Amino acid sequence: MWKKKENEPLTPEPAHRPEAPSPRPAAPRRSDRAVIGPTLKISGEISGEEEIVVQGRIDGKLRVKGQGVTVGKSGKVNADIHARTIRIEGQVRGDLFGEQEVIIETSGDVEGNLIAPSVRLENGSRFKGSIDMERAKQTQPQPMVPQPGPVKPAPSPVGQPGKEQAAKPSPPGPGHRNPGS
Amino acid sequence: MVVPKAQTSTGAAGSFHADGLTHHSLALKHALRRFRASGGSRVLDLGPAIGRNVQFLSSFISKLFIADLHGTIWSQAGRSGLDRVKLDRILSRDLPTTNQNPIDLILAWDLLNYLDREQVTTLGRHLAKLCRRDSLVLVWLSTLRTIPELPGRYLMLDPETLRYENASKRERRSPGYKEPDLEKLMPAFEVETSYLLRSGIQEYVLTTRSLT
Repeated sequence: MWKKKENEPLTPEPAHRPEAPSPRPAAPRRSDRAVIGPTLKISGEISGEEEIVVQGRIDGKLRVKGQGVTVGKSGKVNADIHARTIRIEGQVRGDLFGEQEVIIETSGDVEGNLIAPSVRLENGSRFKGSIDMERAKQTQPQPMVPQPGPVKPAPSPVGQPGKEQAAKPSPPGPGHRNPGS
Repeated sequence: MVVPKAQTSTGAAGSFHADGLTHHSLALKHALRRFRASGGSRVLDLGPAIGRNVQFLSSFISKLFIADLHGTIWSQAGRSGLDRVKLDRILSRDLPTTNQNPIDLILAWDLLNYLDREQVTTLGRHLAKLCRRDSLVLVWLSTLRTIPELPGRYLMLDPETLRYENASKRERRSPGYKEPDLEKLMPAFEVETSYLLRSGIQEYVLTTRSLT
């Protein structure tokens, strides 16, 4: 179903490859990156433990454990994405759950909710939805600009990473409606 | 609480028409101070998503909603314009559902300059549903005869300094809304304070009059 490398024929790996007798010849290192090519359309749930680059279309759900997902410029995803890092260069209609970071590149177009410790929107990117800042603050020890000057302290201090409810991020909903769904 | 009304900023800079100008916003400073003092945490930005603003706001808010109404309204208005029913549909779809967690601060920027009276009323009704008592709305109205054809972008540089960018070279007539118009068209809100800038912008901070 997936390509291991772009422009390579789709050849599914066997479920179990028998151990080669040692000493094993030095084989070229395979990339742990699966590419869903631009002509591929997938409906359903995709899950795995390797990095995925989506240049085609996915409708359903995309869950990658401990690895990154990139939706390339030609990629169109109508699905929630769960991954360690999520980089969007194409179009996504769905919520993005990044364990580490979500980046929407200049060409990226996202409608959904972003939940990640760090969120970056590049200049020119399109985004509509909500961003859970409580988690975003955890990895941003320094604000980009100085805090306002004489501000009366709020009942619960804000802008201090140490004081936040870091351990329990708020769930994605009920938040912004996903216009695409 | 006594609040200043219609103060004239001495630090006003820039014009509504040029690109990349620094905009000193006393209203933003006021709104952020009030927002933080009240322990606010949820912000709705009606404008487009801007990475710099996200980073700036992330230091003191917990949830940011980005509606990008500027882009949506213009892409869907077409030649026939946008009637109340269409706008209602867009707002129902693109504004967040807040349930038990109302919005504390709404950044409307200069959006109202680009809506007719009926559209302002429709928008005001939708926004009122998202607010709690004392929620704040930042609104900028042009006092000039003409405004850029399309709304611009405001990049937050610090709590009172913005950079205004507008790519449109053409202009259109300004609706010339004033404070009485705001209070008539958006009856759920009242003007808490306003600042008249030399650049031809009257900045308003609105607050909810009562829950609707």
